[in-house]
Amino acid sequence: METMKGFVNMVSFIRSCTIVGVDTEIIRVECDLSRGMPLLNMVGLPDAAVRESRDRLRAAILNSGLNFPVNKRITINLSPAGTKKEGTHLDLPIALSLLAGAGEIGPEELEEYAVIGELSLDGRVEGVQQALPMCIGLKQKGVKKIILPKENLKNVSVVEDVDLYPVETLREAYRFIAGEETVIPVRGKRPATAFQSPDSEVDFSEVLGREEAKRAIEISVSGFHHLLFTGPPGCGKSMMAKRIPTVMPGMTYEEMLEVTKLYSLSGMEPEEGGLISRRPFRAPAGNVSAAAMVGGGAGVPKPGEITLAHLGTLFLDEMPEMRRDVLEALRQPLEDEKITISRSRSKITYPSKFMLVGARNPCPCGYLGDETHRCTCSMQQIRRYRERLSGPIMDRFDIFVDLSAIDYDSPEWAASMTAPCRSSADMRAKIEGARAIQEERYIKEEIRYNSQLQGRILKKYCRLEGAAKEVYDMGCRRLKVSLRGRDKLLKVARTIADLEGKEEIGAEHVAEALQYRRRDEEKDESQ
Amino acid sequence: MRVNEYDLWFADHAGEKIRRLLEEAGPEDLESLYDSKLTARWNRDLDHYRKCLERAEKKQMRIVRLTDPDYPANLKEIHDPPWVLFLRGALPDPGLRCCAIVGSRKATPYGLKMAFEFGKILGEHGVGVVSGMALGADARGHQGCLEGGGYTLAVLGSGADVCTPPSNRGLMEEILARGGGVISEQMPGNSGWPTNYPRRNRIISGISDGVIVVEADERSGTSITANMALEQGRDVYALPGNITSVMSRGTNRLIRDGAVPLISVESILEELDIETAREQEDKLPPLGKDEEIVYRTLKQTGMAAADELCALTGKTPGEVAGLLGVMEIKGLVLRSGGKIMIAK
Repeated sequence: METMKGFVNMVSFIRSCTIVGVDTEIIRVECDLSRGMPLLNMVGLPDAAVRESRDRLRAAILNSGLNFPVNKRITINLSPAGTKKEGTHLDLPIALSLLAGAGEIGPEELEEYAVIGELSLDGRVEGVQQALPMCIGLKQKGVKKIILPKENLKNVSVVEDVDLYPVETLREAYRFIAGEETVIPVRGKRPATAFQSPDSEVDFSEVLGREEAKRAIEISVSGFHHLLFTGPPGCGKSMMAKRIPTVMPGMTYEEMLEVTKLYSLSGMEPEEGGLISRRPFRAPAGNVSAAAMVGGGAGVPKPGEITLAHLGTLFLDEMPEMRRDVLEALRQPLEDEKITISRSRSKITYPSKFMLVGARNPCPCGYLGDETHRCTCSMQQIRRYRERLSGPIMDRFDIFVDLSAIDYDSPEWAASMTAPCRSSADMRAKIEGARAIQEERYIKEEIRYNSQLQGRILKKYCRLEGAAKEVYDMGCRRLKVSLRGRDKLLKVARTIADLEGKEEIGAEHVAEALQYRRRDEEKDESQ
Repeated sequence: MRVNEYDLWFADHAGEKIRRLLEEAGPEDLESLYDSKLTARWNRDLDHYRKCLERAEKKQMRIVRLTDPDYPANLKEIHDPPWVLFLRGALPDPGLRCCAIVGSRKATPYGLKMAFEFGKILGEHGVGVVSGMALGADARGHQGCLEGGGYTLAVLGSGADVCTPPSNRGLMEEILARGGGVISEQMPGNSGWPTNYPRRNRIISGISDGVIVVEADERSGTSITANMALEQGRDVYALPGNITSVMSRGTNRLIRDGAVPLISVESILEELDIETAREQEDKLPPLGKDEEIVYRTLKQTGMAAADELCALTGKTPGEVAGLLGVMEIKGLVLRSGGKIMIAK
């Protein structure tokens, strides 16, 4: 074999990764040095940022006082060659692979590591974007040791059971894998404080005299039911929506990782590092485009608002004023809890399980049915406004709340001012209780929340007996509840019973659920 | 004599001058009148009216002329009765008393409910209900009358074969199926110009003995009908409402100007001199203690939001919602646009 060495080229491998949608794919950086015209070729579908690393590579290696192979034909292959590679984090693995190919590091020594990092011309290793999702992905693929820029250490150290080797320079990284230097690994672990109560500057105790809507929010959040507010301008729809995060229950470690990963993929990592511990609350502006809502954009589609709202709340104010295509694009994610964006050559699926809170006015001017203002809309306008939320979208809402304007001078208002006002902490305590009951009940099912009940399991868990059945049957018949509405009624009643800590759904729960049913169907019939 | 295209021409050109000519010549001589007295400045194209005749026949409409014996007697008396009426279904029987129910298309839940109740009680006591089949109060009036098993007549501002608004097609078919009628003075196929409606309203009040106004904004089509009714010498009844409610301004003003306030549903029967044979049949369903508290609170405030009920009764929103759910099933309360009111 010794004699063959002159002819058989050294091929070296370094593992790294690339992000495909939300997933991380392990890639192998292979480097071959052979005799021939001095040339550096890079193959395996690198994008522009990866291809540019050629130029950084030479400068960084030379400026680190290392040897750039001379008079060699260098071929770098990124395998699997069919996957598109993106991002500058491949600089470091490529450089190491090249150095390894030229030097004497055996491939077996590199096998258990994965490497990410960007190089600057002077040989320093710069932090990269999306380090967290990459590390999460690498861990899921079984990689236990990751060499990464020191800058990224803080963000990434929340990934459990992985040894992280922070490096600052290319030289340090090279000497480490060559066994000439030691880098002390940091073992990633889950943050000690899993969840802090949101120290928000807003609180539900500031919302006076809107106890009914607060109750509806309590039910919605408990069972993850989508909620639609209808009411005139100034009745407090957005004020209440903004306070929903303050009653959202905490996230588990896995949920926090998932949310932080998605934010990192959109370049919205928390600046202070660590995990996002609060459930997201997204309130896109009214003129949001379909691509911004569900995800899209040039090249690899970026996650949209619905993905950023994953495991949290998506609040859409003035819903009927949003563009039709945007609203229609919500249909699939509302149904499947994920969104698939298809491109000619690829398909990317982002998770999007969110609680939708919609708000709308009763009519375009907002004052239909108001006692003190004159509604200036024509019947045509009102009908068209209502129809903008199409049937399939309306069907996704479980809870409907009509709000009326508050007359601040009325004695009733004065009375409700003095009535006890529930705070976010009170509400959250009840909600967490209801969530715990659901977690336990659905431990053997594929679902986690009452809103996900359907078909067979709906029947199984929402059985009505005695008075409850009577109220349900009579209510559905007399109030002409549609078939779809009946299922919603059951689900909401189940959540109300859970909130009250009751095993069985009682008549009072069904009766209350009836108050949150969709009413505008009935109205249309009668007018 | 059969109605012919000359009738339609005259009906469609019903101005002062034409009417005078008609009175001079008498209805039997339209053809020579048309040929001799009308100068070229009139549009004398009769083809259009021949087509209208064909269309009316195809759609199985009857055309009733002012001179026909079954032309509604009340309508003959008004200042400018339509020369012809296109009719689907049946006209009111000659002896039948009719009452119009009119109101805003944007009537509040209160107005809608009351339009229905008045329609129902009139229907039950054999009084015909006339209205315009518009959205809102009009439609509820018709529906109430059908519920009460009475005769109801819809007067359209479009051709009698064109359902305006289209969303009331179901109602129109029900009216026809249940022995009611749909009439219009417009040519068949007319899609209903906005200017038709004030004129349509004169027919509504003209056919009726009295007009009930449930809710009207000031200066609305409903107010026009009320004024028309007063000019025609019909009784005008108005439903009193909160003085803060925009939709009750018109009716409250009518009351100030001399309309008869309807202080209960039954009071319309007294006004029309109809024996109130019917005792209050349906007693209130038995109420639980908590329901009664909410019910009484509602009775005092008239209309209230759920939050106000919580504050006034000292119950939690969940409890109040539960009670309201039960009371809604029992038909005791109504809920719309965030407000709750007593239904009975």
